[in-house]
Amino acid sequence: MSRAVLSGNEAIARGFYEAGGKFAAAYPGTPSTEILENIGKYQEIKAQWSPNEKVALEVAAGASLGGVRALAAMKHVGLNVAADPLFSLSYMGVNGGLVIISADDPAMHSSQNEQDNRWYAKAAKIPMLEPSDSQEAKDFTVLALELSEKFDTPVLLRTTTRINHSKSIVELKRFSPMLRS
Amino acid sequence: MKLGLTFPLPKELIREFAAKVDKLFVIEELDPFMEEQILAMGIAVEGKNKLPVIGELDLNIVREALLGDSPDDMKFSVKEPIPARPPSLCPGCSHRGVFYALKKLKLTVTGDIGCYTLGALPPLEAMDTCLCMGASVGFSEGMEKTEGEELQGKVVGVIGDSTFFHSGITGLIDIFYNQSNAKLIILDNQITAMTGHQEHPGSGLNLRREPTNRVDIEKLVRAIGIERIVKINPYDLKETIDTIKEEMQVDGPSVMIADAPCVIRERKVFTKPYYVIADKCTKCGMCDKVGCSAIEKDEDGKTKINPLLCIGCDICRQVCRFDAIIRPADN
Repeated sequence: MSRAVLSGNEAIARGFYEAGGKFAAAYPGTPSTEILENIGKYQEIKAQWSPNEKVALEVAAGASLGGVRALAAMKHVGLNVAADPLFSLSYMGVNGGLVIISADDPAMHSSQNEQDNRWYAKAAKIPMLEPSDSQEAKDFTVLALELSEKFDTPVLLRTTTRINHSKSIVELKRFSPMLRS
Repeated sequence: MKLGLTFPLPKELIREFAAKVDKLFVIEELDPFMEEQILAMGIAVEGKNKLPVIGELDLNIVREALLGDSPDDMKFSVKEPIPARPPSLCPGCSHRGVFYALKKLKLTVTGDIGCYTLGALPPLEAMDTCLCMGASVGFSEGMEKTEGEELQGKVVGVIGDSTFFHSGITGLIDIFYNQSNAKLIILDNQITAMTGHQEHPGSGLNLRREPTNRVDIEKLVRAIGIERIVKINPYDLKETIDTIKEEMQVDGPSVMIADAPCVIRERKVFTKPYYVIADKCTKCGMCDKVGCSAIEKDEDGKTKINPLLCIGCDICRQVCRFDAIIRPADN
């Protein structure tokens, strides 16, 4: 088993890869941007920029309905744009696991406001995981996909700027084909 | 205890933990999200009565809030004063000329989210609103529709290319559909610059930087039905000022496209660095108004240009009334 020093964003990308993720979409926004940039390095995954977060979530949800593990990443205010599909996806459920990354920005290092997106999990009634370092960022991405499939719901992975951009040691595993529950 | 699953809360784990301690604190950044839910479980808990509801938390903030002390050895401070480094547009940035023109024309500018939001800061100070992605378009229409005399022909929206694709298009459709006279400047630097140069539907490349279909902004605007579309070269101040001034007078909507790629993305260098003839510099301060970090002062307070930063965009030379700023001849 090898180890690497990864940022939270790199670790999320790695987790998605190790979990056999197949489709990821995002609109760039600090501190979330590097998630899709890093997912794009794995040729096994279809990775694309969408014109906005609503579209990104919709195409990721469509990929999930199509049966593959999918991810949509955005900054906190991006989830406002994607809130419309989010709330009804909570009813609709998933086929392949669907993880939605909300990268919050306490202290507004690169944002116009400081909203706390944990409320979205409660309001939309979807489970939420919050990693506290890069190892957890990777592990929780995998766990989010498993929970998503087990409970037939999208799962919110909520991070903050410090988690997205700080680097810490992560244990790497091999790419595994998607396991369906 | 540290929680990884924060919705739904693992209530049994929390109850077990609470039963083992004399006093329970919830330490969480921003809102009392867990605290309120734990209180609702009937568990006495403290948190936001001591900790801030804004900003980040760190060891010192938490220790001071909960224990009332903060030993010196836990304080991370730098003794040397660090010079302030306010954000500013890059030297040679294509947005600079547009904001200089907007300030000169004393227009009310509804702004948007991107590098160009820096146009709100001194010395350019040419942006009056910034709400959310795409709001520049709706704001300019709404303000124009108030029909107050002080706003007629004086409101213009400013939006970047990536933000226009993100959520500016529907606003522009509204301008056309509801017969607004609103004016819009699209600062098209052909990339999502602010977040570090990500590709977008107008850049012609996909996420992996492979060639893909490209949406042509001008054709898109025309397809909506907007008839007045003009291109601006933002490196020509006179042309930029004259064009914006003329378009503000027209009846009906107008879209101006400032068409110039991001110089950082392109690693563009127009010329060798400009320089100043000190004898001609009167310290009038005009060149300071373009807000370029390559413009510095010598010991006498006269302008000098930092050759490491200047890429020769020519904006400062165009505002100098005394021909003190020189474009290098040997280019």
